[in-house]
Parts: sequence; C-alpha cells; structure tokens
Amino acid sequence: MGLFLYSTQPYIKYHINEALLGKRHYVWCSEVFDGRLEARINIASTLGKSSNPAEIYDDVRQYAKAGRADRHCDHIIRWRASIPTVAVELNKLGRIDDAALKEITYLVKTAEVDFWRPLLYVIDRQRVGDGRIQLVEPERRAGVANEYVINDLTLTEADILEF
Amino acid sequence: MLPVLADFPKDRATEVLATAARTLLPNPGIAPMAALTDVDYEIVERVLAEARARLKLGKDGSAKSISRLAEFLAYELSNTLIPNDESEEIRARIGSKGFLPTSLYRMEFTPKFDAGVDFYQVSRNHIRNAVLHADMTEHLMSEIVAGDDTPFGSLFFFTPPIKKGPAYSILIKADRIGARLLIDEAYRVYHDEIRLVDAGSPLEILRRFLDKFGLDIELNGERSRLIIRKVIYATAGQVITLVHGDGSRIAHKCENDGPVEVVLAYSVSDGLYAEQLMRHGVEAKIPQASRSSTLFRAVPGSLIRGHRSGL
Repeated sequence: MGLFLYSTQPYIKYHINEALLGKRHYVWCSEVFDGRLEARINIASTLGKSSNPAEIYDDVRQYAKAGRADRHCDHIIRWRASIPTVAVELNKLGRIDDAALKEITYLVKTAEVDFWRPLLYVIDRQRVGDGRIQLVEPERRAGVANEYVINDLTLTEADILEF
Repeated sequence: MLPVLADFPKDRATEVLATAARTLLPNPGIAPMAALTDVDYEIVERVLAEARARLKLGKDGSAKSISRLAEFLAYELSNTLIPNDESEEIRARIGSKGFLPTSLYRMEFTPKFDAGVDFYQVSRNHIRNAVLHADMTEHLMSEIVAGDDTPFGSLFFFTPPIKKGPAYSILIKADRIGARLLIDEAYRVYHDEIRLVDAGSPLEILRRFLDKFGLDIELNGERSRLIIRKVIYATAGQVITLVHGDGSRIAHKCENDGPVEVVLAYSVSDGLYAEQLMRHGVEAKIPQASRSSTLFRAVPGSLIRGHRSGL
C-alpha cells in the first residue's frame, strides 16, 4: 500500500470546488500514478486507460495545449456531462441552492479550453484517513488495481501539480 | 428540448436528463448518486432512445457513440438549466464573486485611469494583455455580502517579457461590478525596488508597493498604510471618515444600524512613484486627480457559508 493516491482532474473542477462547493473535492483516484509502467513491476498495479492518472493527464494536456474546443477528448466530454449531473444531484440533496446549480452549469458551458487543463492531485493517504477513502468495487474498475473515491478532499491533504 | 420532456416542468426535466447522463458515466457505486432515485426510468429510457435517434446512433454501444450521447445530454441539460435570457444575470453573479474566467469579464477603463495614463506609464494594450495573462490574479471579496452594485476590488500582477532595460512587473487594480472589470490604476513595479521573492499574492505585492510608494491613511483617527476588509459596526447617522494621504477626505454617513465595511483603501504618493520611474529612465506626468482608492460597502448582509462535498 503506497503512501499517496493519485488523481487527474480538470482545472475547472478544482475551480468550482474551491469557489462554490466549500473547498471540498470529489476525486476518483488510484494507488499508482502510471499503471503502464508500474504494472511491469507488479501486475496488481494494472489500471485501465480511463483510470490511469498519467494517461488521463497526457490526453487532457494534449487537448488543452491544442487550444481548440472542437478537438475531441473523451475525458473532457465525460466531465462536461458529469459536473452538471453531480450538481443536479447535490441540488436535489439540498447541498447547493438553485443559484449555485446554475452558476456551476454556466461555468462548464462557457469555460474556454484552458479551463479544462489537467491538474494532478497527489493525495496524502494518512492525512485523509481510511474512514474517508472508499474502495471502488472491482466490477466498476477499469483494471485490476485498486481505485478509490474521496468525496470531500481538502487542499491540506493533497498537493496539486501542473507540469 | 427533446419531445419526450416537452411537457415536463423544468426541474423534473433536468432530473431526468441528469439521470440519463448518469447512466453513461463511470459510477463507483457510492453516494451521492442515490439522490435521483425517484426519477421514472421508463422516461429516462425514452430520453436515451430519442437522443440516439436524433444523433443517428442506432444501437451502437461503442465508446465513441457513448461519448456523443453524453455530449448531447450535457448540452440539453445546460440549456434546460440556463435559458438564454438568464445567462447575463448568472454571469454577473459569478463575476461579482470573482469566480468568472478572466476572459469572460468585460474590461473597461475608468475616467480616473484615463486621467492618469501618462502617470502610470502602462498603456491600455499592456493592461489588457496583463489582465488576460496575469501571473497572479486576486479577486478581493468582502465580509459583507449583498446583491447591490457596490464594487469589489480585483488585483492583477503580470511580468512582461522585457528585451532591454530594467525588469519590472505590472500591478493593476480594478473595481469589479458583476461581469465588468473597471480598470482604474496600473503601476510599474521595478524588481530592483520592491522585493518580490516569496510575495505569494497580488495583495502582498500591493502591500510591499505601498510600504515604499504609499502614504498613510486615517480611518476614524486610526492611521495605517492599507485598509483591507475592515468592518465597523455603526449606528444610524454615524459618519465614518477616511482621510487619504493627499489630505482628501471621504465621509460615509450610515443610514442604518449595522456593519459598514471598508473593503479596500490606500493612497499612492505621486512624487515617490514618479521618482521610481525617473530612476529607471521613464518620465511620468503627474495629473490633477488623486491616486487614492477607497471601496466602501455599507449594507447589512451575511457571511458566505461553505458546503461539505465536492464535484
């Protein structure tokens, strides 16, 4: 078990969480940064492409560097759909009001390419504590390596890198 | 709007669209996805079928088709949540909070800036570029929150590439009203005059700039170089007086009992700033108008409160 967890997130998600959601971050993360390399040493580190922080980072960086909104990137499409979807769910749960729901949706709708650039979260596992790190069920993972979800990560528990 | 949702109330339509989008997204099987359990899945299936038909996807279950479907549903969801006639209002609200991407603000120059452009020695084009590509941006917030038109302050800091001559950065101060940025001051900060190492924010740079080129100001008899988010609990009829370094006075008469906030106040010494420019071979024309800045907020309000989980 490593000391850190890794997750790639778009800048806009970081921005929305910091600005409108009380500085709490929902992250889907893994124990390895690059499953392609680490699986050569340990087969249990195999991650699917869609869950591998290094590959997600590369793909999204290529999109952001191109600076063209019409360029295709599956991760961006997924985030464009998932951010307002989760916002609707949080609104239904009473965690955000109607104004915040619209503001989040507006930001996603109007964000320029640069707002989708990738950030790497390096999460201090010990600081978060086991109680807040939820294991994703094996059948819902993209590979054999463990994947986790943290609902309420704060920036005191992670370093955010951009490279 | 998809025909199947045409007769649905807006909030129900958004829930159906979000549920349909959710079926296409990776799902760790962990809350808060349980939020929309009361949505009729038959309608969700019809939405997905209509979306597939519109995109001519047939029963194609490839990753590419799923992506196109997710993109379509995200588009429908955002259009349902934000009708066109509400866009400007939402943009202004986000702008006031300082959360809008800089490129979505409308940049304008105030008469105060126009009167001092030969004094600042920073052109409008340089400022536009500096704001859009700022190395550091700080949208100042206020302790008092209310939906009025009183501006907030914003600071931008940018180091332009300089081929010849001494290195300097540009510190810009703007008033923020909704989605408008009203640029009213811009200063050259020469690197051999102000220590920038370990200055982590534009506000800290402004503080260091004022230590060298500022004048003391006085609020109700208390002297300081920079006032930031100072809340005073005042009674109706009380007059709060701020005296700037150049002797100009601003008196704020409180209409009601309650908090009054001096969001940002400082004075820059024309002479000291002009001398800095001259030491670097730049001549500045000192205008008549004062270089003092004051932003008051005087409305009863509440503090911003946080939420407990992220996206």
